[in-house]
Amino acid sequence: MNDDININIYPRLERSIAKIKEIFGESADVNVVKVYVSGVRCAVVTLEAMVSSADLSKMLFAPLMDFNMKNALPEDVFEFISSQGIFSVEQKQIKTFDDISQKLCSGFAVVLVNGIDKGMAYSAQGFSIKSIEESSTEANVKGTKEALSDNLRTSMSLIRRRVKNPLLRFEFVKAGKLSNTELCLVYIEGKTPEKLKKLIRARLKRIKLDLILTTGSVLPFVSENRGAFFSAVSTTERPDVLAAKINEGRIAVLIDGVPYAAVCPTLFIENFQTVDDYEEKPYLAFYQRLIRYAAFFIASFLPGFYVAAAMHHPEVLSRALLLNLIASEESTPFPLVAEMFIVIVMFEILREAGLRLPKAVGGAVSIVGGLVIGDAAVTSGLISAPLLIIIGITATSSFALPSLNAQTTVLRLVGVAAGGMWGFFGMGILITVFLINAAATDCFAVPYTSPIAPFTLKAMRDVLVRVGFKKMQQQEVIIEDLNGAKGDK
Amino acid sequence: MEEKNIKISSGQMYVLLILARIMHTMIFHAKEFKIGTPVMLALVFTTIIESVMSIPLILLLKDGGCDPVSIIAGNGRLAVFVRFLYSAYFLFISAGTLMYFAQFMKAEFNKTATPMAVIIVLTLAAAYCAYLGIEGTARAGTIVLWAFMVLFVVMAAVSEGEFERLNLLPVTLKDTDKILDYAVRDLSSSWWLPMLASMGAYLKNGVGKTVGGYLISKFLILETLMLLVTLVLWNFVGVLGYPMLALGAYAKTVFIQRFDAINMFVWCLNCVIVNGTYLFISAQSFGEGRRKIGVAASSAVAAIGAVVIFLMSLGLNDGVAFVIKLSGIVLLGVIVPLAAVIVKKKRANQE
Repeated sequence: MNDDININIYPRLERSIAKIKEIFGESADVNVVKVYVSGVRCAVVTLEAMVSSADLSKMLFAPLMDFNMKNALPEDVFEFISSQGIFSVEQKQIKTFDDISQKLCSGFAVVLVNGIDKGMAYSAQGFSIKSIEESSTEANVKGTKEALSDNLRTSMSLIRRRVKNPLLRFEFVKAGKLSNTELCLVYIEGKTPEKLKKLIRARLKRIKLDLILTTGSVLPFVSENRGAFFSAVSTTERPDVLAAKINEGRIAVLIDGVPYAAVCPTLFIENFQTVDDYEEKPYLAFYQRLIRYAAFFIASFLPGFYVAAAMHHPEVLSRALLLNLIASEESTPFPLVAEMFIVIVMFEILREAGLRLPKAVGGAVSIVGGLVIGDAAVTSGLISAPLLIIIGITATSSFALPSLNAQTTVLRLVGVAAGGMWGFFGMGILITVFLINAAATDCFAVPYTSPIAPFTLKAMRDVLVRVGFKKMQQQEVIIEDLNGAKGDK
Repeated sequence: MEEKNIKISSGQMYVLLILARIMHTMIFHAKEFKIGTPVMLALVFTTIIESVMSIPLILLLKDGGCDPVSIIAGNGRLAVFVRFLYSAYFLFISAGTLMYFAQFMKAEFNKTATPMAVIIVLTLAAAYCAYLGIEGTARAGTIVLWAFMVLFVVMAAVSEGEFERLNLLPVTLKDTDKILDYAVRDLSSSWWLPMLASMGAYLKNGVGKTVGGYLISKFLILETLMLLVTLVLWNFVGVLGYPMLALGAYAKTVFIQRFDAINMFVWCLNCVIVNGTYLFISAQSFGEGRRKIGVAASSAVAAIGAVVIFLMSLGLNDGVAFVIKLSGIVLLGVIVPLAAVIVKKKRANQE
């Protein structure tokens, strides 16, 4: 398809217009306005709703109509529109139909002059965009309330407002054979390693997908870790978080039309850090992080350990708890493992329903699921009360770490199977396998489990304990320090 | 930066070596063997002997990691043979570890899983470890070592066992046999030497730190354990067999009485890491063959090999096993590195 349109613009205006219409398959949103400028035939081509009509009439049509030259030749008119009379934030001379189609799709207006085999493209984007909103997945108490936008330029401005320095760089890469989506690399010159930039650029250029509509479709190309359970590339919708990450030498990829940025390399410990940690006193941040680490273990392994202890190692439980458990389980018809699976699946269904439904109805689902079904299940003797408490604690803990939701969900299910089959032995095997998988995950030679393993002392200042900002400013830690290549770590 | 770190640090190497040793100590079954002051003295001698035995390795790896087999024989037939020896040796060690762990599970948690299930599951997990590579295993090992430390601290903190100083009997000439017996037993567990030799190519630098750290830690850990067992338990170990379990069971707190399962859980973490390392060594010792058949296939072959050797060695005499272990240590942990040092020096002189 590219070969068909990668040809020069025809000098004859009618033929060029016909070609543009052919390229767009007579699509209804192609607007062609034919005008005479000092007696020379011209055409202004735009895509419906991609340009601002008000801007277009002020910036383009008014100067074109005002241009008056006796016996003007097409060259004079082109000279006028390309270098004298029309001013736009971004204007570019174009030579091929491929250029025309790309510019039109990006919200430019294209002006063609009869007798000239070139054209001019003027930035006149006017499509409606969503206003800047609060982050919905990375909520915080005290930090900024602005989240990245669907519009790439707006997102770029949000980052630029936080890093007012020429060293902040934005670099465009196009991807998506059909969508021609603009991806934007964001980094700070001098902090991000050159090799990392080169690699990301090369990998993004290798994307052969037709459409790029989600961050998920870019992530596997950014970091190639086959079989990794945890992702060494994270996403964020917060411009402040993104700014902090690139300041540590990381690189971010913004995608036009997606309000999330992919950031790499990412570490396991970063799932437990929030913006509020840096707003509060260090001791409170330490406490909150401790809670989050505990929440991760509870959300992932508590059901498995519960089943393992109850079925294989009752000696681990206290006598009172054991007697209580036996009494509860005697009245239920299912084996403990089956019961646990049923409740976990029930919880996942409720969570999914709450997520997909409109907010007003979503709340009702929680009430129906949590209170009505839960209470009825215990009262009718289908599910034991201790088990429901375990799942309640597990579910609540999983909400504390939304970025690890996929992992905790899988670990929970596999944990119940392993614990049910082989008790603590099964749990031990499961935990080791996932631990090794996480430890073997790298992103550009930065181990996912660093700075814990390999151990990097100076980076431990922001793992469980967060040191004060005065100490932080004394020594900078960048991502390259964690790749285990510098000395004995 | 685009490539993965295929080398591990001296600290990570230390972790792998010490975990392997802790694994062996943990699954050591006391039987009629009595722990006491003569054994503690024997450990001093064996540590000195091990220090001497490690000199060729230190000389070989002091300038950074290298592969002793390539130095001696390049990629020739001799290299294939020596690599095969390394591979077979660590499959044998892996099979032994699996057997001891399965025996422990059978003795203490016979209802949890059958010995065959234990062996198969452990081998599969270890093969996966070997497939993921030594860097991941070493990093995970660091975290498991932290878990051990926490476990030991918690055990010590909640234990109410009382020390009985009368158990510390003075060493006399009559104990010579006992000292020699333990010294040889301990030396036959020194497969950290061939381990370090076979993983030499993966070591970044700092072999001195690894060896020194290992010998000091091993000495301190074993001496402390033996002192504790002697002071607190004495003959009670004979009843339960496993000193570590006995230590937990003898203590009077409620927590420690329920400790066996938690202990087993941590042992299990270590068993996967250690066997993963053994299988990795065996798989990478396939040399050129590994490249041809691929990492996944070579790890699978190593895993199958470990299970086959386990099945073959079921009725194996303890004496034969002892000879195999000790010969392997001397040949693969001392003679091969020594030969490599000599060849390296000769080449340097020629240049």
